[in-house]
Amino acid sequence: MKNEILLVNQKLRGLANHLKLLLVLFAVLLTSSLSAQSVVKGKVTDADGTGIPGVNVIIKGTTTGTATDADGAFSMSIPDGTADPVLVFSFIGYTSQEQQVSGRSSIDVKMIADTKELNEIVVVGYGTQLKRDITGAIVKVQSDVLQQTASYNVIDQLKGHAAGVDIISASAVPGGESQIRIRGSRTMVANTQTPTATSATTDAGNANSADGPLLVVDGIPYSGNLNDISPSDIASLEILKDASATAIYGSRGAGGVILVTTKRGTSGKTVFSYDGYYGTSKVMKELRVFNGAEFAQFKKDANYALTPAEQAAQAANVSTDWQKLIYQNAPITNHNLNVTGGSDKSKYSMGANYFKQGGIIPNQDYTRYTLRSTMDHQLSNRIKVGINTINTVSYQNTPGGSGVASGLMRLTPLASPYNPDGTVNLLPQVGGVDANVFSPLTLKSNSGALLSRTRRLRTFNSLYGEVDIIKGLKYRINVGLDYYQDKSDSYLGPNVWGSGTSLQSQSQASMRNSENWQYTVENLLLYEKTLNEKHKIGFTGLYSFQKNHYQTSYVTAIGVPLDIMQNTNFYPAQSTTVGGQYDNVFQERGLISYMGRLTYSYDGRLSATATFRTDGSSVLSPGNQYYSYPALAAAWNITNEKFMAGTPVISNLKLRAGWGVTANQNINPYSTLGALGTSVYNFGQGASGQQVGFNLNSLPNNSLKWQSTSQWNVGLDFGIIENRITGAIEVYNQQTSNILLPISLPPTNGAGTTFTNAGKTKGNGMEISINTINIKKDNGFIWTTEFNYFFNREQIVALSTPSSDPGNGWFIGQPLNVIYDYKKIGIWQTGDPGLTTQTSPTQQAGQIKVLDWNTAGAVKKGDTGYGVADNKITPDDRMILGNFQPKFDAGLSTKVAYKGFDLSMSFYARMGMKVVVPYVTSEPAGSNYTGYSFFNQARVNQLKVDYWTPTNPTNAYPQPNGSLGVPFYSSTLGYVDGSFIKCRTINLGYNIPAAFLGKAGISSLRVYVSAINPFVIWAPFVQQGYGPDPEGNGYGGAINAQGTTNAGTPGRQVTVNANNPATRQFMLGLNLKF
Amino acid sequence: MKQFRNIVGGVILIATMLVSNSCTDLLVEKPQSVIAPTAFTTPSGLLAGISGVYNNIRGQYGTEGFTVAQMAGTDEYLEGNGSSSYHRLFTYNGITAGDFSGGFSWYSDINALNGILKLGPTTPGLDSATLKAYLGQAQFLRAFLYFYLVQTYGNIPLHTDFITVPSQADAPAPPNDIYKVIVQDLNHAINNLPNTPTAPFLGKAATVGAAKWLLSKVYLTRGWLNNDPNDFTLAYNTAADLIAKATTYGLGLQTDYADAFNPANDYGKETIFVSDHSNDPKYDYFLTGTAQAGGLGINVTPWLGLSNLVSNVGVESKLDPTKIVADPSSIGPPVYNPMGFVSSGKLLVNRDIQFGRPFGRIRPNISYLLNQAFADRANDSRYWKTFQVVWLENAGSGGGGNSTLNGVYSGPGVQGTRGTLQCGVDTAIWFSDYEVPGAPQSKGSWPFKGIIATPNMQYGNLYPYMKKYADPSRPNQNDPSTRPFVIARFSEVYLIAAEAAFKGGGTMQQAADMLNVVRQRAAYRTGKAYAPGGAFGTALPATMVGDPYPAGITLGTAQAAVTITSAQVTLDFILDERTREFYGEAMRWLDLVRTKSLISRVKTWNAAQAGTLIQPTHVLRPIPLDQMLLVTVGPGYPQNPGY
Repeated sequence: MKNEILLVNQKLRGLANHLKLLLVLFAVLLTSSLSAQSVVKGKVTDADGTGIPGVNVIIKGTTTGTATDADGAFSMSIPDGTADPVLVFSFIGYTSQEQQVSGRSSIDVKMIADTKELNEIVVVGYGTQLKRDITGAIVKVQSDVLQQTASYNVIDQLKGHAAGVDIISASAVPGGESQIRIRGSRTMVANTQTPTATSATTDAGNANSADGPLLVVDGIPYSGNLNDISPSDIASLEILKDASATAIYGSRGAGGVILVTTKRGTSGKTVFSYDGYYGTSKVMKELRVFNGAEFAQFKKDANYALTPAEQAAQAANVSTDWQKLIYQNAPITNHNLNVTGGSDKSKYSMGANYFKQGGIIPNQDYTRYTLRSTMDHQLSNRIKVGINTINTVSYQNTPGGSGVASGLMRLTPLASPYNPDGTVNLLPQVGGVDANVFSPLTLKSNSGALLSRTRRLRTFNSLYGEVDIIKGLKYRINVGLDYYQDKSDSYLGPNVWGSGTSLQSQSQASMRNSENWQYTVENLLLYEKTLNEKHKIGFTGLYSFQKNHYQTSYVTAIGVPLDIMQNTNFYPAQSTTVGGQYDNVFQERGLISYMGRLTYSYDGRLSATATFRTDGSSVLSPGNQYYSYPALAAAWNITNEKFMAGTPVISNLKLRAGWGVTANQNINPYSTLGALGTSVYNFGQGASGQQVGFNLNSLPNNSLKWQSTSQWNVGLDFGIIENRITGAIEVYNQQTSNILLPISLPPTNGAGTTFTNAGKTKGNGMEISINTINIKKDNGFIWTTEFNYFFNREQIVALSTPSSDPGNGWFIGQPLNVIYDYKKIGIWQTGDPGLTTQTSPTQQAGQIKVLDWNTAGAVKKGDTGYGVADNKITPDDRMILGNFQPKFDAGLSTKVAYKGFDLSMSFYARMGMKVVVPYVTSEPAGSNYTGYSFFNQARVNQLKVDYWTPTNPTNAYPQPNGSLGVPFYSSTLGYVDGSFIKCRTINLGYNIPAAFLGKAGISSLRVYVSAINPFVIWAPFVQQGYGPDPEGNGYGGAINAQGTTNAGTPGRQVTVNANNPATRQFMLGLNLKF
Repeated sequence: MKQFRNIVGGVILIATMLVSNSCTDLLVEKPQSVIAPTAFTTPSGLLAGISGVYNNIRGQYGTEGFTVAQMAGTDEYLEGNGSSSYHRLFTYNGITAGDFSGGFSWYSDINALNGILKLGPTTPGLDSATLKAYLGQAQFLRAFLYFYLVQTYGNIPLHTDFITVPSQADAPAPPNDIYKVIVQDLNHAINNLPNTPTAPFLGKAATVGAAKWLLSKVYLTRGWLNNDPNDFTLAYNTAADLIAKATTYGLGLQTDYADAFNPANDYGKETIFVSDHSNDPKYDYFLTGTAQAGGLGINVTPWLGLSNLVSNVGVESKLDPTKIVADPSSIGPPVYNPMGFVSSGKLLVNRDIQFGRPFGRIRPNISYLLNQAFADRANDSRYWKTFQVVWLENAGSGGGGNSTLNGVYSGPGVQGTRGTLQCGVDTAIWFSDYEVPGAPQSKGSWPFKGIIATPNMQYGNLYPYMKKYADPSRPNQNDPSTRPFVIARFSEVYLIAAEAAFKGGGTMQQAADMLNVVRQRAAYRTGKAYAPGGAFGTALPATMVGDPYPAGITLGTAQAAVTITSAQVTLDFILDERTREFYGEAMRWLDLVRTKSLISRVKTWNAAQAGTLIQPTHVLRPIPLDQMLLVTVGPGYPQNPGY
């Protein structure tokens, strides 16, 4: 740790030196103009004439400025030679004012409360609009809100700040991503292909492509995750939530749209800015496992013999906490340098970013380098061109993968981590069944033999050209070029964690290369005209096309001769193999779109928008490739009506309503063609018998068409008491039909799956966001709060079958993903008469007792045997036990500012949903082997649970049993209330007064400390001892109910697995402008 | 204005170009890395389709779940300690529709075969000889798959047309309709297939011999089903015909029973039909050294019957008489170590390539084997050729257990209170076939440096190893086997003939004659005496029985002793004979079901573990839950009774 700090200090020092050089350079430039001065004084007051302290006063176009004192008075020098100086007065909550000095020596200013709300410009997709003309449900989140949370990914920063946007962490490794749902899920998905050991496609992946939002960066659709863009480069996010707003993205709009606007150059003085932070991340808490003595007792209770080595360790009182030995505090560093400037004709910005996050597991980290530049240039009076290019290289190192945490849980505590001579005890479980598990300490001691690295190289470019054809009519072309390449390298030598071999000839190496490119061309005609000063008409027309390409290849090698070679040279390896059929993929898809949008607004009171889009996609059956998406919306600014003039309490009131149709392209290319899987077989041992095999996986469908979602949205924007309280309420209802559904066929019908247009879902919900200025004192004290609350209720309305489809885990009237399992009602206790009456299976005291409530064949109420116990536990006894849809989400951020100090905190809650905890379950049968193998069988260590013994007749966990195998109904142990209220961030900053900085040529400097994830306020998951963090960290790993094979269902469940543990982070940072 | 016109004109021109270029191209799908079902209309597609079916057959045969299910819950096997997932199959305790799904995925193969049979004859570019070979393979495979399915589930759908339109409706067909298709397919296959394996279907893929073996077994099985003497006659005649023409098909018995399991003879004359594997990892789906265990069609048979010796046998192990319970196969409260075998001291053996990877799923029902099936272990050599009963010290002086891959094969090994065992020389663990007084540490008054595990000491983690499938060629002890899984051996043809004759398809003398061929071969022995150097101290000579004849027995006397008369042929005798001949070869469950003996044999020989809960309805496996749940159109799919 100390070394790491030193290292970072060195790096910081190096950077500081560079900065110093720059500072000196600019100080020279600045001081040259600071020779002679004149002085201006004055007072700044509010509408009542009371002085306002802390108002910033600067000379326009410079960084020279001051702030008002406690009485609102100011005094400042104006350098001679400043031609026609203009003072700019600005303060939070008020509209900025400019005053021409014109030789005056005293200037008094009356500040007017800010109603900028309505005049703000909002990006709406293919253009911008004034906020007051907006007709759809759009949330804008500014960078200052996002930046409260230091993160490498803007989506992570968005968590809890936008109503209707539900973000679930999906990975805890450095550089991992989150999953986003806007207004819930709409689409049922299931496995579309048989996953192999190395297959990348999962149910969760399918779900993400089906229901995730469309990301658009500076107008160009963006694929993949936003890790590749430095959050410091982002100016704002606009989230289009309802169909009237997203319909302009037609076939990709159903999951909502997130418009990312990056920072661009501004005319005027060159501004340098530097943002940086340094911090450390710590494990919130280790998972609670049995210690040495407890583990010995646990094994005894399970009748599982201790190995001789364990007996010796027990005698020597050894109790190793493997988690403590491995987890480390990890540094986080971010440096971002940016230059913007320009003239009236040309504006530019350039930026560089370096981010590195260390992992709490040794040698895991994520590093990103970004270079970005934008240029906007007015070629002539009529023609404007611009470019934005974002270039990123990132490295994600995950030696040991995400399975280290569960591996650590499993290790016996009855083993010394080190040998008497101080070397690592290579095989701590000697003599046991799992004797070939190498010590996790080899992650540190032999790190050269472990490589797991993904490098991404991405260049994302958007260009535009704009021609003013006649007044009000513009032609614009947007061209997007996006290319990214991922190279995954891995090497696993002998004698290290995860390898299971001590032979060099068994070392493994692999290399995966994947390439993605996409081009987008958009032709836009934009027309705007105001008639009679009251009627404002706008038209946008679009013709665009897009092509995506994806190709990947994968090669593995066995028997690399030397660890140092890793995967750099496959030639000397003993054998090389090309990966399986899902590792070598070529896919292309095309999209052609036409869109028209008409906007009209009348006198700032009424506005309306109508859009129409047609999309054609290559992935659907010929003849069904095109579909059209209409949308209509209107808004009424009630406060601008005359009858509202007499109600001063209400400063803003706007009613919006809209309807639209959108869709998802959630099927993979070539899905309509049916597919043969490929396999291999060899007739005999010789090469002459080696053959490729084809297997029938899915049947063709010649009539696949678009699914569509139609949505209603009604919204109300309001502002009360001079906009001290502002907010919005949205209510919506959506219906999705013709869902592109991969359905599992009865196995006897000749192929596993096919796609159909089947199924309907609906969803509705409400979103409330309220922003308040709670206290605004004349002395500059200000306390503001942002609050949001939302919920979504999704439901399956119809399926491809007349009734519910338990085979796929879909139930009409239920949310899309539910838990369908036996209901655990406790543990069988000694002497329970049920033990003798239950005929199948026969059970014994100490085993899980589930509810017997239904007989074979009874499906619905009214069937014979429905609700009747028959003393047999059969799959018919399963029932819906819960789902993963929160009852509501809420976020609260609050900020207090006083005299340059600001303190902000944000809280986040998701309430009333279940999560699945796979590490208290164990797969009963079948080939998935998920869950926690050997849970409660005492073969391995595990979460410390309250287990049954004849003397501890608990109803929590069954009797551990070393010989009977997987506990009966083990899946029922894993369903936990996933509700939580968390403190997300605490951020304390100080703006060094401009007066101190001006002379150094610095226009603003803020230093801050922040804590991310500092504590959990309330969570049953934590209180019941499952772990430190209830936030789901992925999908998969969940297990089937006993005796069932619901293909795919467990893969869709939100799980909190024993992946990399949750961390909390503490940072120290500064934002500097000069 | 002129400029304006130019610009607009330019824009329109560009836009038009873009439209005309892209519209046609962008929306046309051109798959490159995936294959659509239309591939079945090409010669290479037909071949790949057949190969794909073979690959899916090995997705079951030789894999853990399928293989265990063919043996669990019979008279031959008890549950091993690692059986975890298969507990219910061993005990019949609450088997539900979700516990047994093996095989229904084969319907996609049946559909592919339907496609091959339908599209093959019209596929351009195929000469008639190649077409004939392809059709023969497809006919054999379709019969093979349907035969397994109809025996296992009884009520299954029959599809012989290529299904190309998805349907969510289906219904079972009468088993006799399915048998009719099977018989028809096999008769066609006999006409179309070559006599011996011919490229590209090398190894031991389907041939005329394989088709005749299968046809005789199909007739026999249908005979039992309908009690139809005509079928028994057909079965006997088909088997007898195959035996008569054995050399034509390159088939026959090995001289020594053990040679049938010698890896060098995997494709030898005794092997009729295999599910193949490869030592080329690409063609066998495994990555060496990755301890792959499931999910793909890898051959794990060498591990399934291996107990976890490395963790459970210390040099000072002893008996704790207070822990002995009466019945080792009890399904009662969990007892890890019912026989009171208490391990202590340094572990005697290392896990290495030779000593394998213990999966411990199934263990021999030793009481049935020693007292009934293999009661005559002097004249009949098959017990010794089936089980490995001796483990040599390989652990080095530090003691064994850790699975560093290299056993130590020379030098001093573990030192116990009874001396130091020499690696590669001294017996570390001996599974005696009788109760040895003084065991586990001594034989009578003679101290034994290693451990003697007697039949009464055996429990879920300590039992002799079924060695037929051992694969010493594996590079890593955690690697799967790359030997083919032998589905049919030639000796079965004799036993099919014997069973058919016994049921009226021939004379009782013919039944005895057929049995005697197999039994007299079993009398054959070779090899040197096993000499456990120093294991008993210095005085006691080695008396352990290895491959050679025990004192006073020769090939002649042994063959005479095992020869039976027609009066001795009973159904139970035939079933015992099948145990002796095919123990561990994944056919017991279906053998007992075919001969309607499952319930009686289980109740007689496996009373405590499987006999208490078995029901007459258990002779059919439950229709898989997927089938039940996914038939959502039309009438629901009927479940077999009792589930």
